[in-house]
Amino acid sequence: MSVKKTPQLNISNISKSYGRKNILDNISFSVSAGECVGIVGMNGSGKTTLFNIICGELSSFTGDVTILSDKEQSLQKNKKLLKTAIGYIPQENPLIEDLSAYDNLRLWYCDSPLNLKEELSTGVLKTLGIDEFLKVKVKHLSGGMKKRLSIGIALAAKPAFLVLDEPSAALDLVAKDIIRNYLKEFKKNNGGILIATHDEDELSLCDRLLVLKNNTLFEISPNIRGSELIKNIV
Amino acid sequence: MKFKLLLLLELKNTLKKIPHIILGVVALIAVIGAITFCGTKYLYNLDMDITINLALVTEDDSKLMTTITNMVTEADSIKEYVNFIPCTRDELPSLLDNGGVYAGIILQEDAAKDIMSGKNTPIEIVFPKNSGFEAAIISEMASAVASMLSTAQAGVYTSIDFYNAHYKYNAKDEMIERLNLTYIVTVLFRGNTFNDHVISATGNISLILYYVIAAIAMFLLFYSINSATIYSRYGMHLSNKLINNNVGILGQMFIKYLTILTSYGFLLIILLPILFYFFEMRIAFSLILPIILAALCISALTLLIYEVFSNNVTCILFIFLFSVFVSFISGCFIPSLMLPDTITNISCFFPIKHIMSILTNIVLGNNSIQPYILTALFIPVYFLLSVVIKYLKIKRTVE
Repeated sequence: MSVKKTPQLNISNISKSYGRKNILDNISFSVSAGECVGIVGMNGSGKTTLFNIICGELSSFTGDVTILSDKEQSLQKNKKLLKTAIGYIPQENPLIEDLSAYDNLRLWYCDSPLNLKEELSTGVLKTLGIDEFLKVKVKHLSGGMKKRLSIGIALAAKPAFLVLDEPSAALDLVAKDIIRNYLKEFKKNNGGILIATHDEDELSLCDRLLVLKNNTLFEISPNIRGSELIKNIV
Repeated sequence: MKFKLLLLLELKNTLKKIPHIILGVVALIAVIGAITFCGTKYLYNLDMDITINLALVTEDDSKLMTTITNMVTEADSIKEYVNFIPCTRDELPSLLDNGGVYAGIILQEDAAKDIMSGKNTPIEIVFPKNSGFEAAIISEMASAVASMLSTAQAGVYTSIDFYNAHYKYNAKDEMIERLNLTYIVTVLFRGNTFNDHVISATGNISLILYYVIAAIAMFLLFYSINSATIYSRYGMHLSNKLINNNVGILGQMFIKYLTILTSYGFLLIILLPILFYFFEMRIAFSLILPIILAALCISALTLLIYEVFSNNVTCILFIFLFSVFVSFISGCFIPSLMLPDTITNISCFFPIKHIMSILTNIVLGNNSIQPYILTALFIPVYFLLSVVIKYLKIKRTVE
């Protein structure tokens, strides 16, 4: 089951609380194909919780996450669709540290519609520069390499949307550049991107910018930067 | 498909670590060997380098008393542990006070003659203030000897009465002499004072084989430390990603369990020559299956420990302390027979105790299914606990 045509990721009325503490309150927005939506907010504002909900890692919440393609389907009820619709790159890289980069790729590309060897020689994995450190164990890779590998793995199911939680945190300029260039390409190829970031270069990719503040979400101009952006966040 | 591939990749990764594993086994052999060797030495090769000093005040210089005292002081079995220091009654208090002797025996003038005549002049035994266990032992021995001498006296008087009643006056002296000799010899024979019970702390199994079995059990337990080289935990996102790809928590834990078990395979290969060296062929072969069962059980325990703690250094420290504790209460260092009942009762909740039972039963040729069942029961318990802990950890991290 794959996502066809120009799908739309809809997040409707998401609410989440930990005990009495409300984290997300009736959050709704959508991400269209070929669109990059940025989410900014203070640390602890609930960005990661929201992303975990969208990507099916958190199940106890109210609201719904759907994909609108030929018809609207809930991702909560269709894990198979979730797997092919969204590629999630969390802050903590979902990699097996003791295996080589190649073995990690093998694991996720074994039932992928993409051919691993082709991707490594001419495809997306080549673009991300993963072919340079295939034999190295993940635990010996740098932060940037791990992040690139995580993106490569997230793309194994050929997802329509990429959800990235602060992908450039603690990365060097080269790694940031490689990732940003790839995201541009993904977007150009009609992929939808939802990104939580504070990096100005990555914010420049965003067509829409949402601020998560006081448990709610509101939209601001994607061109706001610097002190004005900080004012909106705080 | 992903489960199979993940399992193959993890096993391949474990196999790549053979040099680390072998190095770990060698280090473990050195450590366990040293512990077992020291334990055996400490417990059973203690040379009794203790001699008890006793002061002997002999005021009776009769021939009979000289003979008796010479027999006592020159007997090899007594000389080995007791050093008699001759002294006078005046010298005795100072010897007792400065700790030079544990006790003083005073043989008063005409003591031997009085014993024979029934006058019963007491033989004094003087102990210092704050006397220790040696004094208690000597006191007990003196009571036993006194009791026998009383019996001897009763015998002598009865015989005298009998001879007098039948007017056998000429034979009386010879009878007394022969009785005295008989009774003195009887009193001086320690077997008549103490009952000997041969008790072995290791039961019917020889000391060496007992400690070889204990070492095997400890090898299996301590070997979990080595798993730190192969064990890596799946993070929350990776676990969730695997769950979304049909490799559930149960599957993930099973893969981890198999990787630990694979490393135990190497240990078994290294243990085999040891088994064949110490045990006869038939017994060595019989021990293989129980050791595999033990490896299955301790692998599950290792999985549980590595899932409870989130970093391997903590695991190593915990496993070391835990293994020392469990080995101790299970009788690996000191045989269970010598431990208090409470401790041996606690040890039943850990598999090592039952593994030891299985191995000793095989060596002794006993058939008991109970320790097998108990050891096997630990496997699902530990494994399922690991699964539950993993589940709770993921849930807690996500929430």
